[in-house]
Amino acid sequence: MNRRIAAVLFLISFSSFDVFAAENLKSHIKAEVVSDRSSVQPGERFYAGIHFKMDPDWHIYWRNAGDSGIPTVIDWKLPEGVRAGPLLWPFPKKIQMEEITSYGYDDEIILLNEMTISENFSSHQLTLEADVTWLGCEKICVPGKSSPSLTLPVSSSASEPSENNEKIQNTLTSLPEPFLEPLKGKVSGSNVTLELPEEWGTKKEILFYPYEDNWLDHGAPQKISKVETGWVLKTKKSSIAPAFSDSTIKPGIIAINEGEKVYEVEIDFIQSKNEDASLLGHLTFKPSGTLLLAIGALGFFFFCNKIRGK
Amino acid sequence: MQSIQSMKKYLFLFIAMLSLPASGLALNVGEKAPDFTLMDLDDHSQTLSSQQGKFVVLEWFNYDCPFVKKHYGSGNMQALQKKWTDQGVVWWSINSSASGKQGNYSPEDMKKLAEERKTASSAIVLDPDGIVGKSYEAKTTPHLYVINPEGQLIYQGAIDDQPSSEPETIQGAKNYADQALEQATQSQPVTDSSTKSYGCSIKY
Repeated sequence: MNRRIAAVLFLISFSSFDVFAAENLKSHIKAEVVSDRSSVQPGERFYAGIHFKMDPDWHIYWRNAGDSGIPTVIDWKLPEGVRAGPLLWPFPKKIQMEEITSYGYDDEIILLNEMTISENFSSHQLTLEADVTWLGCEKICVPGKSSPSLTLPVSSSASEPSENNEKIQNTLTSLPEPFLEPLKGKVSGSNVTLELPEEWGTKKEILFYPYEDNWLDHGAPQKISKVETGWVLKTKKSSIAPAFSDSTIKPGIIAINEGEKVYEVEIDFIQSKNEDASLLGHLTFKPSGTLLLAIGALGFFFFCNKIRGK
Repeated sequence: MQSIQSMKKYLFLFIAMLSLPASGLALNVGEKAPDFTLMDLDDHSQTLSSQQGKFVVLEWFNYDCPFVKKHYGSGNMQALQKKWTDQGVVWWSINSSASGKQGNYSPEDMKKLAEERKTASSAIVLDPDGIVGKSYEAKTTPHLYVINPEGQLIYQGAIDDQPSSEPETIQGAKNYADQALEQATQSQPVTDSSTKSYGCSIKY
């Protein structure tokens, strides 16, 4: 037999079970460095980030990946004199796959950092390089890794906006704004209640996305409802949630009407153990059903007795 | 008369059913692990309750998931399976990939894949309808559960504390499943009894 054909057949015979070797490691996610400036000036601040482009149906993950997935990581390798601020995460999409709820981005997204270049930066060029790792998933998941870079001229004259400036400005306006007051939260059994400011009560949709992955039931519905004290968002705790202490603070973001407004918030939980608050929490939920049943049962017994009486 | 009695009986049953806790579906550590029967690759049925008196490990896997590959490609999972099955622990590797989805293979193909990997679990069981996976709220591959000889769940969550698909992270990782088994087999309380599992979503 022709040697080449034999080699091909040999490969084919292995390919279906060859899982240790790279199966289909074609990258479905592209990552490149973008900046809002086409040149930079020592002493100024500017934005740089990673522009991710996903193939259709593919996604990467937010800082809290949710039930499955791994957060995207950007590790800048910057020359001396250049510092990166915290990574700025736009609010994510909920990705629902059967029973599993994750948080991430599809299509395209820019994850930015604010950069500061020192006054004494003396080189004529600045190379912005980052080690980027992500988990890309469609129906299947493929981990990705790359080290993209961008080199910008450094000049003493005022810097110019780059071709990506508009996209970056749009990304900046979609970032969560800090919400100054912590919101009050309550946990009672598996029920989680977040108190909302009065003016949010009329909003169509309010979604809370926690930064930590282990305490909220990511798949549970989040419902706005009116109670005596005002408007609340009702949802569920995860069955793996660690115990809440007297004043557990949980950070996250709140997105109103699909990102019409996004706030970074802290939820201040007062874990009510056997107090009235927890009783009330129960009353609004379970016993109301039991009460109905009791009334129904009573009625049924009266009905039975009446028949027996005849 | 008799019909009224039976009506009362049904009513009682009805009330008993509805008075179950509203959160009755959530599976918590310390509770009884849901019983199930699944077929293994040799077409034998495997029933959890018939393993009472032994520690049982349930390991959700999908050989095509990069996080599962990390632990099988490095031999980490097989070493853990061998260590504990040698000590009389029952270790079931469970695949809940639905038909046509990633990681779903016929029993014959699955057997070949398991042999190639020298999988050392007591049995590999298939759950293509996802009923058992959903009853355990298994979310990712891998996702591990440890059940004590009394049938109570004593550990659920990640295999270790390194949520990454990079095999280099295995060295020095804290293996939660191993820790739970070490502690429980020495009648000690399990310190990290519930952790966040990591990996690919289960392809229900």
